[in-house]
Amino acid sequence: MTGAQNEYDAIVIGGGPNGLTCGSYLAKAGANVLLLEKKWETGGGLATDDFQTPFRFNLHAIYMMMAELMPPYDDFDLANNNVEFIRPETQMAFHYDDGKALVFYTDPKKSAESIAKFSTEDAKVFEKMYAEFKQICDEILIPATYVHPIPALDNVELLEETELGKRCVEVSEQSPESMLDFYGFKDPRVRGALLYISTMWGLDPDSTSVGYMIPLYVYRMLNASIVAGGSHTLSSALNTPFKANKGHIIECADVTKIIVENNKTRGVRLADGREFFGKVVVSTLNPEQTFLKCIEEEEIHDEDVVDAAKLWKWEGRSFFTAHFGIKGNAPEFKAAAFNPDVNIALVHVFGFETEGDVKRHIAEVSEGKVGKPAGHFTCTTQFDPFQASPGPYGPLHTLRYETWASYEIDGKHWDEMKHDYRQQCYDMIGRYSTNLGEAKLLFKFAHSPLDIERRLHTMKKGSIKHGEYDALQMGYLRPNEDCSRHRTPIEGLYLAGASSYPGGMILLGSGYLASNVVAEDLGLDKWWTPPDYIGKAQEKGYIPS
Amino acid sequence: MKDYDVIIIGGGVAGGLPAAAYLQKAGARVLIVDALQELGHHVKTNEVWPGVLWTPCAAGSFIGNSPAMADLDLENYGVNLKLSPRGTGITFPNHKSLFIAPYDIDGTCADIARFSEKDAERARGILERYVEKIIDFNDLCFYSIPTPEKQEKMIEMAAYVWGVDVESFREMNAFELVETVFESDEVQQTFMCVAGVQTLGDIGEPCQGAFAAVAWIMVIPGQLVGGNHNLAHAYIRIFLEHGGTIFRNCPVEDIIVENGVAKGIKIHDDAVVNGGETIMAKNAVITNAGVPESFRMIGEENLTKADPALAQRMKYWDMASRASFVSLWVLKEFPKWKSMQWNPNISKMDFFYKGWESIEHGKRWHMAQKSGDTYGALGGICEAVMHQVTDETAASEEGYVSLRVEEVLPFYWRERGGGSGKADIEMWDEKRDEILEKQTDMFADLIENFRDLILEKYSITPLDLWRGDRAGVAGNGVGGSYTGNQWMLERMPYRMPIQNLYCCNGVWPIQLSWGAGGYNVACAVAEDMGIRDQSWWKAKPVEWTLQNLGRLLVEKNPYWVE
Repeated sequence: MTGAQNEYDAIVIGGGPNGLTCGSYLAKAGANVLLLEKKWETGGGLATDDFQTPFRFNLHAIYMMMAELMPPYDDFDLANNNVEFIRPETQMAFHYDDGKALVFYTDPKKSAESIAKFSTEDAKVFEKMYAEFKQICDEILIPATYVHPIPALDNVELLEETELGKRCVEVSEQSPESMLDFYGFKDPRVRGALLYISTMWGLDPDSTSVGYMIPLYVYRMLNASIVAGGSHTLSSALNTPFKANKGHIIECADVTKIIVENNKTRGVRLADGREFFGKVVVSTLNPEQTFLKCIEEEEIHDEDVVDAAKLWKWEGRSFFTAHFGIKGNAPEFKAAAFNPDVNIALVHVFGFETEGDVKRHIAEVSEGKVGKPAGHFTCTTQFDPFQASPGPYGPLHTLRYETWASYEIDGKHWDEMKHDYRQQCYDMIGRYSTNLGEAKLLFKFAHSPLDIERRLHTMKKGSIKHGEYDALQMGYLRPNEDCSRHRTPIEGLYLAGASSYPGGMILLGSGYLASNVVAEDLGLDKWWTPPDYIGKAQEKGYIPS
Repeated sequence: MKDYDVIIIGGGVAGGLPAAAYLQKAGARVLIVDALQELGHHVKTNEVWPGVLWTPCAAGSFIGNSPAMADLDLENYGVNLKLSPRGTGITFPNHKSLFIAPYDIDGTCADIARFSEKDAERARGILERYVEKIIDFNDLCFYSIPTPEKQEKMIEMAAYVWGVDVESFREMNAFELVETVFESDEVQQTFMCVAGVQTLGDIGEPCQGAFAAVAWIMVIPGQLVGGNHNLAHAYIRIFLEHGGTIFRNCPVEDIIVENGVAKGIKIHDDAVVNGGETIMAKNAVITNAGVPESFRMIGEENLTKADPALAQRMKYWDMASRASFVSLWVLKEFPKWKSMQWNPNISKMDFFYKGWESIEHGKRWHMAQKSGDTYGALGGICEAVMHQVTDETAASEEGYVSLRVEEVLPFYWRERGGGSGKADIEMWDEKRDEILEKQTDMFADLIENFRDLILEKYSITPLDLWRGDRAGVAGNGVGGSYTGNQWMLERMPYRMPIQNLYCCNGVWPIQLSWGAGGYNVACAVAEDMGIRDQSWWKAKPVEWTLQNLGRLLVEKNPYWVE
């Protein structure tokens, strides 16, 4: 390419949510930043595509758990930059074969009323648990998401010094399954629903190693929002400050080499031979890509970093996502006779009657079986008219069905199963709906775990969070203890992907934290200040200062 | 709320985006509002199958014609243009093929000579005069606002390039032009195939039909590496870098006109940001929203007051006789075209046509097209694109590729055999699969074992295209049908009869990724604002592409068969 310069202050590898976040903070701080994206479009998991149909399909990320709490939201004034988070009051509906439904709301009192239809005792327990989870998350876990981690034992020591901290430690020792007994839930459906919420993004029912994720998942999934106009709107909004501050993006740029000389990062080389040089390189790739593929082993003088990358574990459970565009009314449900609110729920869960169903399904998926597509469903257009065309000749609605699935499946290939399984997903919605049969199905698409890996190259084996959430890969150990604070043992190399602290799921945390240390090391003007909730948590001694 | 000099309604690559980039770079403070999230809707690149890219609407990129390549330094902003050495091709139902490549006159003529020695000689003359005139032709006919004087010169130049006297040329439609000049049916079709999809002129009308056939040869088809959407990315980058503002998911309710002057816009209440607000523009409101939508936003009353004749033309603007039906097949391997036995050239063509059975079939197809016989028009000329032929990155790692096909059909389904005659639009939702099957049959006749190669297929109907993009009413992606009274001087005026109001959709020449409409409206607004004189704003169309031709032409590609 003519005229393109090849010397930058910072080079960011990967234009996903974290890469864009990091790039934007640095560019606005005055750095000359180059962002290299392997695909033709930035955004990574913030992918919304219409495939040129009248429907906008959220191909990957859809439920925003942190939304306005993410530091870039205020720092880049995203509210005035086309971003609106839509958070329906009726959050999740669990549909049952007998026509009943358990409904969760942003308002815990209303959730408790719904639970009381199954068990009045459990309703009280839920209120207690929710209040505790909320406080722990608001005061400790959410602030901790946006500061650099400290070693687990130091963290426990710190938390033990306060009442709330102690409770946080106790709760964090639970597994999704034992949490149900820890609080004393009795009703099988209530237990099943709560188990689903805490395991839906990949935790195993009996895993005790990252128990602090349970309050986060439960509290934040019951306060989930979608991005108006589709998840990709957030990507476009993160692009804007980057470009407005003269950040340079090159798409279709396949980085194959991070150039390291004498333990110092010099720049990167692309598959097509182009080289770019920078004072720092920020990688949002996964550990395998960064430390095993892009850098020669002998150039890394830290065995632990290499070993951690070699031992890196991908998630055992991925997703199969089916997308439908229909002409007809938004689906209404049989269970509306039991509780009319099910018709306005953001997330519908089908196919799980009890906690046994949840465990069985997870076990099946772990064994590589392709069972019935029990999972969760959202009709985005019900809450956001921009996710389908207003017409003419509608109404048009966009449906998204997601179910756990294994990357490797028993003796079959996903490409051959895809169309059939997609139909099974549609049928699954139809089973619980009263009116889907009247709608005309205009478009249907689907992505298997294999497709996730092929479309989003950092998500090996369909691992949406770039690697398993377990004790050895989380907190201070994500992706290893030498790199979790976003600097690496190689001078000038930084990490900012979902495989770094705090992890994936559209937190923008890793990109935010990386930009903090890069700005310090480059001597840039840190024009931003941390969110207020961080200062408060530090004052109370809940998180390190 | 910020102050703006210019508000542009609609951020597409034919009009809004190039206009925005030029004007913002020239120092105006510009706001783009778009009803959609993603700007550049018609150049959107999709990945329906992992790793396999396709750009359904603007499947070829014609940005190589634009002065913006040089003025805006588009390459440095990510526009990586590639051209097939075989230019524009055509494969026929009789399993023969042809191509026209002005970069390879000898090769083109050698290929034509297999059909007719005489036609090869004629073609040589045309292509030589083409090379002589391509910059002037583009400068006069496309990247310039048409006037009656210019129209005369355009027709003269077109007649000159084809070696036909001007008076005869004025009387000829496209069929008559190619039949006068060439003797071989296949050569005749080749030289009018691009115009065959009813753009830049109605092929059946005198003068404009002939002109369309000539004009299309002046357009350089290409592909952008990583998909044609990179053009939108580049414009957006330039625009934002110079301080421009974008409102996304932001439909416009009204264009505010007071005392015959366009003052600003009112945003629709439902818009994601600034819903219900009024935003003023000091110097210009540019509508790129298409004629029907512009008519609605400006209001019949305002238009009638300003220019009653224009108001009537806009009210009855024909969008419906050219509806795009687009289909995709994802294929397990690069297809073996049966015409490869005649000539393997087809493997090197990224942008090509499936011809009619014969030129007579073309005439019958045109009649069906004009008379609104959607059934009868099915299976005529098709525009086909295989991005992978010039852009390897559009193929998956496994080597899966995409075949994209567009047919243009009458939008309104009319019952045949003396039915009620009522036009049925929702028929598209019913017929989509049937048409896709017919097309699959059609290509199974052209490609060995076609059905066995298919991994995925789907169609986008004209109704879907309209639903997806309010500017593309009736699935018309070119700004309105080209008919007897919607040609050149009778397309929309760039400067509207309302002061400070400009239009860049429905204008001459055509909504296309080459951004001519956007370039021309930017010239008009910049002149009126007194900011046209910029040191960087000086390139001629096509110039940059000719200067860099050597490296733009693809030299090798894994799918090519020699």
